[in-house]
Amino acid sequence: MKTQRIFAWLATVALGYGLYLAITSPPDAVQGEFVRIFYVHVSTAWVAFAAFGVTLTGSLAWLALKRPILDRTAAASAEIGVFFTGLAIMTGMIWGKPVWGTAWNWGDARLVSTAVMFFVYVGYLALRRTISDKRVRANRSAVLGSMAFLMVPAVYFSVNIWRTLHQGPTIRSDGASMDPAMLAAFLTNLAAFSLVFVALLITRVRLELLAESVATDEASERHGLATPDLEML
Amino acid sequence: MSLWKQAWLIARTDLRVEGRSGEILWIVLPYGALALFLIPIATALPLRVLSDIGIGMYWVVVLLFGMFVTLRQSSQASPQERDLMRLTLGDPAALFLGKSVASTTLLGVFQLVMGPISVAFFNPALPPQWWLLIPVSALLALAMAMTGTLVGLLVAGTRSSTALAPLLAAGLAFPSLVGASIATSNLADEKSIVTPIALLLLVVAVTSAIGIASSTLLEDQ
Repeated sequence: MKTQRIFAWLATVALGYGLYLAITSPPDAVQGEFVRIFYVHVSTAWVAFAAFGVTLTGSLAWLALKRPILDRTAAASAEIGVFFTGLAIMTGMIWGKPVWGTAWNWGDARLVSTAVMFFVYVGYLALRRTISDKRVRANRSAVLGSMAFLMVPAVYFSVNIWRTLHQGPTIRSDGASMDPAMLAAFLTNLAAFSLVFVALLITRVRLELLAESVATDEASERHGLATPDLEML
Repeated sequence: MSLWKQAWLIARTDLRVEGRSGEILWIVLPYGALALFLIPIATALPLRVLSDIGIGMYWVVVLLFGMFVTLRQSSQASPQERDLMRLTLGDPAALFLGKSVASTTLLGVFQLVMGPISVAFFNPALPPQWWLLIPVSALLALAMAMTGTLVGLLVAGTRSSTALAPLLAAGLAFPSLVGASIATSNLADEKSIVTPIALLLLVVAVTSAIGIASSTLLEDQ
């Protein structure tokens, strides 16, 4: 509970500071004021990728260790990933309308593949809802969670093998090509959104474990059985 | 009995069941052909544009209706049949491999029929080396068959499996569709198709690895 609160506060403060920097940073030479959406857009996309990475890790860890918390973490992270993928698509569309002249462009591989990734993970969450047996659900979700992660490199590298309008990497190994104030705003938002992700993940996993605990308590009361220890979950 | 022998037996049984039920021949194929009829009516595009999008339409129909092939009712085992297979099969991976082989064969047949129909209806501008689309189609069939089989095993016995399976399969088949699409445009531009072929091979390798590795887990209903 204490960890949850610490991360929630850290995330709130960091997010506030990140948004302040995003608003006060200089406008872009080409995009003008619209560049401010970029700080949120890239950060949400980064959180989505990270969330699906946690889903993969949780899935593989469940397959190896069979500890329920690993499966719940994978699922919670997928939920957050779907939300942030949706947010990344929406912010991208808001940015695309004035800059590209259209909210949606079929000529951009990253845009299209991100939308497909969104639906694949919606399918992952839907699969979980259709299976009531916890062990079977965890097994099948772990297999799908591992397979679905293939979409992440597919999205990232799609621009290399397919058509694209997305710009190339802004931060390169030979040094960043951004104004220092813009770079600070970008990195602060990246860190702030990462903290938001951690705070949401801890809260969601905790909620899930509590919900299961309550359901187990109710079932035990109905059948007159002793309440199992929450630690067992 | 070896893994491949078991897989072959399952594939042969699946193909026999399909031969008797005729689900692909009498339902999926006419449905796919009907979709090819409906697209020009719905879009009301001029003939020249239809010719340009002809091959793309073919890939879309193969992808979407190919899902019906891989997720066909005749390949779905009842709980009793699954128990019987669990008791008689030595290696659970044989189920994944056998069903994938059967689906690849049926998808190949589906593509063979839909190809000429697409050419006849859309009159697409075929690239000079159009015959290179044959190995691309074969790899697409293999990739889609494996993806569909894996999804079929994932949703087996679940609520809403008929609605959920196409959502999962179509999404996961996206890299395969991209591979086929890039190969087509590269051939039209007279460029190399090594990259899209490599992408399709990668999808086949990864899907088969996941399918075989998870076969014991997915056997557990």
